Amino acid sequence: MKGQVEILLVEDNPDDAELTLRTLKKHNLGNHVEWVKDGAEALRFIFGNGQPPVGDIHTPRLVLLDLRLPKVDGLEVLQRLKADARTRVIPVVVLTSSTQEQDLQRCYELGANSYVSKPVQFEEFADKVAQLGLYWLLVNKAPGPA
Amino acid sequence: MKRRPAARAGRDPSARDQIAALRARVAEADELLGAFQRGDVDAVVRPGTAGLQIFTLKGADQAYREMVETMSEGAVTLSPEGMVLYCNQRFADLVGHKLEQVIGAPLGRFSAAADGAAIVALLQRAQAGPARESLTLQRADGARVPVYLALRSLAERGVPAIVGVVTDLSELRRAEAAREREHARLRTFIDANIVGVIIVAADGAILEANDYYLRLVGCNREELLQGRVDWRALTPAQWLPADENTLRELRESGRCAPYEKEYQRRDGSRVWVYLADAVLPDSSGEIAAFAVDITDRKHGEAALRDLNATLERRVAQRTAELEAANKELEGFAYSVSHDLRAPLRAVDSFSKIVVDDYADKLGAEGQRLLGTIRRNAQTMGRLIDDILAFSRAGRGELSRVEVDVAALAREVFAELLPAAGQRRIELCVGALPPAQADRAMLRQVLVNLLSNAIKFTTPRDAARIELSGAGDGDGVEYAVRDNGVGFDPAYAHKLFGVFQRLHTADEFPGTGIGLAIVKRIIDKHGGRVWAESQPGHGATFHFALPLAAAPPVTEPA
Repeated sequence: MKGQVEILLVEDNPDDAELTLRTLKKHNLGNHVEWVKDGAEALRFIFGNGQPPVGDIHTPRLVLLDLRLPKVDGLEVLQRLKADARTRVIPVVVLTSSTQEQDLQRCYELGANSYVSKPVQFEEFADKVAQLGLYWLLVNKAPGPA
Repeated sequence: MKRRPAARAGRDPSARDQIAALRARVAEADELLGAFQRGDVDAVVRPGTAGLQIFTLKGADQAYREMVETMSEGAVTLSPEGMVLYCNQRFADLVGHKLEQVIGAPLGRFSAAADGAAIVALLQRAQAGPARESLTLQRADGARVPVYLALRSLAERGVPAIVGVVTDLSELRRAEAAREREHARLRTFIDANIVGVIIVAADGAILEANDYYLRLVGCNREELLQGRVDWRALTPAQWLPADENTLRELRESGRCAPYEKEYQRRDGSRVWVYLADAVLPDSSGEIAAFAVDITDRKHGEAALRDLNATLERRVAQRTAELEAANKELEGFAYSVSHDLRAPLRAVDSFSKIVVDDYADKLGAEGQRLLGTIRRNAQTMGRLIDDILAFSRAGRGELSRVEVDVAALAREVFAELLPAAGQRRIELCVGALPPAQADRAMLRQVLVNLLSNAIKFTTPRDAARIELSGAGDGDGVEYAVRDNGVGFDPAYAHKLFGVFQRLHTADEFPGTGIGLAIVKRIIDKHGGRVWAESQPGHGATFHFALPLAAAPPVTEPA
């Protein structure tokens, strides 16, 4: 049921995806999560097939976005989301293995709401994911869909 | 004049006629008197006892006399045979005799022996009209005086004499000789063929040229003398506009700045010349020009230019290659960062999940083994992070500014201190000179050195870190001294290598990247870093930075 999706997880690595989903579930945040494996799928989920009715889009309450993705990479997904007035307000948290300064820079330029690098150590990783989910879905107050 | 007319008139019957004759004579006398009074008469000649007597009137000929006596030329009156009847003092001076010795002597006596016949001939020519000749006089003291002698006979005027004017040519001859010497010198210079010299007519024809120039343009002298050599024909078309400008400059100012151009020889070969032109004064627009063959120099310059261009191309090529290699490395680092960490995370995370979810089935040993797996995965994660940090350190352009090292050190220390917990650590910062460095990079250096000092003083009850420094005209030098465990100086050379450690991870945690990063940054600043220590007696790390920008030292592989 797409209408109920609260978190869109864009992650090509099934292991990372499993760890993320497991953590979210553990904190009771995993019931309305949609996992897609590449950028193209992510865009299709949000914008549909580009066929009419054009206005029919999905606006999750949070997007967890990896950067290195097959087909359409994370930066492009981010750009598309932030360039469209209807999706601009969706919080996008970049969740990536990259610690590269240029990625960080570019993501903020494109309007990322947060940038989190995935630690190697599981406790750290789980802690970060849990914090993110709790913060963006429970603490943070976002405007309604445009 | 006697007065006898009355007596004669009384005796002569034709008294009227006599009276008339007397009146006529009175009129004649009056007229004569008038002529005297007017100054028309210079002298009166009357028959006397010793022949004709000449009565001159002082005053009447004064001006002429003065002129002759004071003129700067010699004046002489000669008998038709050449005897000196009269001469002025100047003439006597010219021949170096007393005036009275000259008068009455033959003119030939005062001439050089070789000119005797010439004088005889000149006197003869003078009978027929004005005659002139350059001669040499011989003075009484033997000195010879070049003169110009102009003679004219007075026979036409009824006086059997010849007048002459003698002009001293000594000065003229000296000036001529000087001119000739000058000319000879110039000629010597031109014929030395050190440079090409030409004289060009206003229409472009080359009037004169020395051998150097002929060699330069590949013509022979015959062609030149036939007027067949024109500079325009020697000039490649591309240079003609520049030459027109030069000509305009020459017409306007009479000279032009030296310039370079090419000549094209008839065989088609080209030669580079350095030219300087000037319009010759008192000529109909003739131009003198100097030309120097600079072909070798030009070819040298061209070769140098080519070489420079080649070098620049090569440098650009190498730079591009290096940039490409650098980009590749960055891409590699990116891959390492992104792709190597994900599997490690999986290893660590799923190990942890097994430990959590299957604790009862694993037993203590199983848990320990999975713990080892996790520890190694985490260590590898740190190593990857450190490799990335090292590859990033010192990358990019240095932006050198003046940095207050003391303030920066205190700031860094304050940030590091909380991680040290409750330990007693004292930082003493002396009076430090400022550094010319990239602030962010220098900050990294201080972070690494101070955190090392904090780490290796852990066993001390009271840790003490001293930061001192000094500078001179060449640069600045700083030292970070601690009272920690120190290291064995035998291994000092290994300190700054990547992942080199002198302590085990059990003693002190760390991967051994911090000092490698320090060295990389200091190298990039053109500076130097070294350390000294005795085990158990603390360590001192020094780093020196040049004041001015020095070329970065290539890091040894």
